[in-house]
Amino acid sequence: MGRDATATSSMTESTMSAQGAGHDPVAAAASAASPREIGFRRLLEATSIIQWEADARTRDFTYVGSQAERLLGFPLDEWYQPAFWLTRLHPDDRERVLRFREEALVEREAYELEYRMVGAHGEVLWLHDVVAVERVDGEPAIIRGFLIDVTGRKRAEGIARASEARLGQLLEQAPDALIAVRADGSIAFVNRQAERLFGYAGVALVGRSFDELVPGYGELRRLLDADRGMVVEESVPPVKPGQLKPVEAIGAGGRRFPAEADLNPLQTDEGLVVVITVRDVSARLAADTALRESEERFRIAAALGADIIAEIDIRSGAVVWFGQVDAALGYERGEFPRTIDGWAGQLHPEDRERVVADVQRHVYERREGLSAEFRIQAKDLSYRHWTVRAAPRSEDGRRPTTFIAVCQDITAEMVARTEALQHRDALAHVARVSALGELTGALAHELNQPLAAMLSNAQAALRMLDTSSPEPSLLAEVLRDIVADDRRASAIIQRLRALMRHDTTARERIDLAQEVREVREVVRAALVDRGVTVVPDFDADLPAIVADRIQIQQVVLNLINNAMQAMEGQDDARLVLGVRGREDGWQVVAVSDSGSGIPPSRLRSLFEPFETSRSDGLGMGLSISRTIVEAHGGEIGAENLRGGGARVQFALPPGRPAP
Amino acid sequence: MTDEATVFVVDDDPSVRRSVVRLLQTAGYRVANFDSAEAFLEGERSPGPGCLVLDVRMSGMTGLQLQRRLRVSGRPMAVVFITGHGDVPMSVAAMKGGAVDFLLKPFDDEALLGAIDRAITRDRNWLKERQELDGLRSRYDRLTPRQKQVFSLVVTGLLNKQVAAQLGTSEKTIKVHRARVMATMRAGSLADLVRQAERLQLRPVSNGAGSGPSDGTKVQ
Repeated sequence: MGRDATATSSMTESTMSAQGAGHDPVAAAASAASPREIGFRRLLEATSIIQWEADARTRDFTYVGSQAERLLGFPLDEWYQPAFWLTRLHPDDRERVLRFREEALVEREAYELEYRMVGAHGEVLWLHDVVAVERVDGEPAIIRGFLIDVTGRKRAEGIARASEARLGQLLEQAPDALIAVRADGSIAFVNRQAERLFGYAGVALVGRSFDELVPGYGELRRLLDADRGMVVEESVPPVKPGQLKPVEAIGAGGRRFPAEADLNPLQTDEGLVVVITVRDVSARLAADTALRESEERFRIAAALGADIIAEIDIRSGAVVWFGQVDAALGYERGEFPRTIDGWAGQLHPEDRERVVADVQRHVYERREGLSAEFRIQAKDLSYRHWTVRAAPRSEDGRRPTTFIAVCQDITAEMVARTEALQHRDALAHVARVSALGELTGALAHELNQPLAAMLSNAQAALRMLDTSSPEPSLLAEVLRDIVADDRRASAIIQRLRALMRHDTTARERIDLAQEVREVREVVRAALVDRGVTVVPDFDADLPAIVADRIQIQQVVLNLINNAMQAMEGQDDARLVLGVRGREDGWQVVAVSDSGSGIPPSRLRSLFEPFETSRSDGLGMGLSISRTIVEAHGGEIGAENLRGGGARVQFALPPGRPAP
Repeated sequence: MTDEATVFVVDDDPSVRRSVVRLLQTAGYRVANFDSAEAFLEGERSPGPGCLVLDVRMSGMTGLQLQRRLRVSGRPMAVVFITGHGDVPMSVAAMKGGAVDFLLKPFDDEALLGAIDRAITRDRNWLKERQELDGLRSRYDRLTPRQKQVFSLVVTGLLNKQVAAQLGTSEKTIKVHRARVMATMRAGSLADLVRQAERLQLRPVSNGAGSGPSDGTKVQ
């Protein structure tokens, strides 16, 4: 469209030269005009100068020359619509033009101004407007004038400004090859660096399509596409400058070379000018390739997972280190010994004799590969754990004299491994204690029941003794009840203590169903409190299995706790709890709740540490549960139930005879 | 109608129930026990005074729910709560519901017996009041409609003459009606009659239909 507008403008200017025929007859409005006027109008309509007449206040046209149709691409009818002129006025010019018009209408008989209008296809035209004001009773009533398309002139002015003043100097001084491209994709300017890069003389490139130099530069294409139809200052294109894109460039004589291109759009008055930077990267790519190849060689050597590689000449005892051996051990560059004896001197005294003997036997005598793990002293006198694997370098079947050793510092791993073990133990304890914290209330209730019964019984017995004739059989009954309640209380405390115990208990033959029932007893009060209906689902007469009963109870407790939390606040909370035997002899403990189920996104990671949906949870419960179950050779899993809710279950293998 | 009080023990823990029953029996109470709130509601309720020793946390209906149920049933009962794990909101709810006491297990016998005594006294008072009201109401029911009209007008402070004018009859007739009302209601004076009207919650009616007592459960 922009080019259409340009084409139009090139035909116009203020010349009166005759243009092609096919214009409309004079408007009916002019029928009453004198022949001379009619003649003049005809003459005007043969040019691109558009005569018009309009209401002074609204500038709604009452007459427009028929060429107007060509100018903006609207049928004449549209020009006569109310507010046509105002609507088509370029938004950026509106305020300025309206203010100018307002003042001019008050003060002047005639005025001229230039502004932009937007055509039917979004194209923007610069128009020169000449206006004469006709007054009735001193008030402006009718305005008449001419519209002249001056887009071409404006564009020429813009180009002159942009390319000469701004681009010319800038581009020439730039170190990179720069090419300025017009909106139509043609080259407007190249700097000397670009001429050199592509091997052309500058004149030869101007006017040619940029595509010939760099075919398939998508960013430029998109930029120009976005700009299409917007010759003058329009919206910012979506392509971002400052991003070097790899392209293939074609120089004189069809020479192709790898390059990178970046572009920088400049909005100028006459349209978009894109300045493109092109950089030859063939040299850098060659260097990259060389680097990659050498890295590849190293990677092959390091495939064993090395941090540091050593090349050892066993005749001289010299060691060449590849990699940061000095830095790894806290030394200044080159400070760590470069001999096999020097290295041996750094070994931990407890390791030295063993490792040196191994090296002597395998490397020196047998010339065969060796792997060793040892502690080596760093500059700060601390010891690092290293593993080393050494292999002889084959030299055409001759007895090898060079060994390649791959060294790895595993200190962090060792520390982490130890810490992880301790950490998990501690967390298991924390989780157990916090699970208990949640159940403290329930346990207190459990314990207070027998205590209450004992106290009431004892005080009843005292009252009996106060009477004149205490009944011994009655007293005996009371005492038996007290003994029973005492046992019950101590059983509760034992359960509590067992749950809190922090050591690893030996495995024993247990009745799994019985253990699960016992846990249910522990949480009975909590379940009642939350209005949870428990549905037991136990197979009868299951054989004993071998397990750590405390740990298994811990798992069951976790699962019940989770189920209760999943049903928090639910009206008809239902918990199915049970143990069933599987055909293969395994026993499956299942806890199903009627909660809202587990979000699918969490199902996979449910058993990972610190995975929790609760704000107050540690997220260790299920992780510890899995650890315990897997330590028993069992498996644990969770699934959502079709009718709502979730089931978490774990299976334990059948018990073998106790060792 | 016996005056011997009955203590109802409701707790789902068998050994607690047994020991409390034993303690109360030793202290001389007649005791009935139930292992759930539902069982208590199904059981026969003796007409004499009584109180409820109620566990808070039970499977099925909880103690607090039972208390609420009794309160709205029109036959409230004084409640002593016993609980193994009480918290502040729970005890507040219980006391707001009219509980006599809220005891934490294990509780001292003196504390329990003291609370039960207070509860039974309260229940006795309720009962007495209820019986008096019942008597009053049955006497009132024996009045003729005309006598009821006279009753409701007289207690507003109208003179016989005014009552007669309102009911469109002679002062003499009213005098006779009034004497019968006093006799039937066993009221010694006009002041007695006014108090009775208050307890019966009579509303004065100018003419025609006599007013009746409103729902007696509101009387306390």
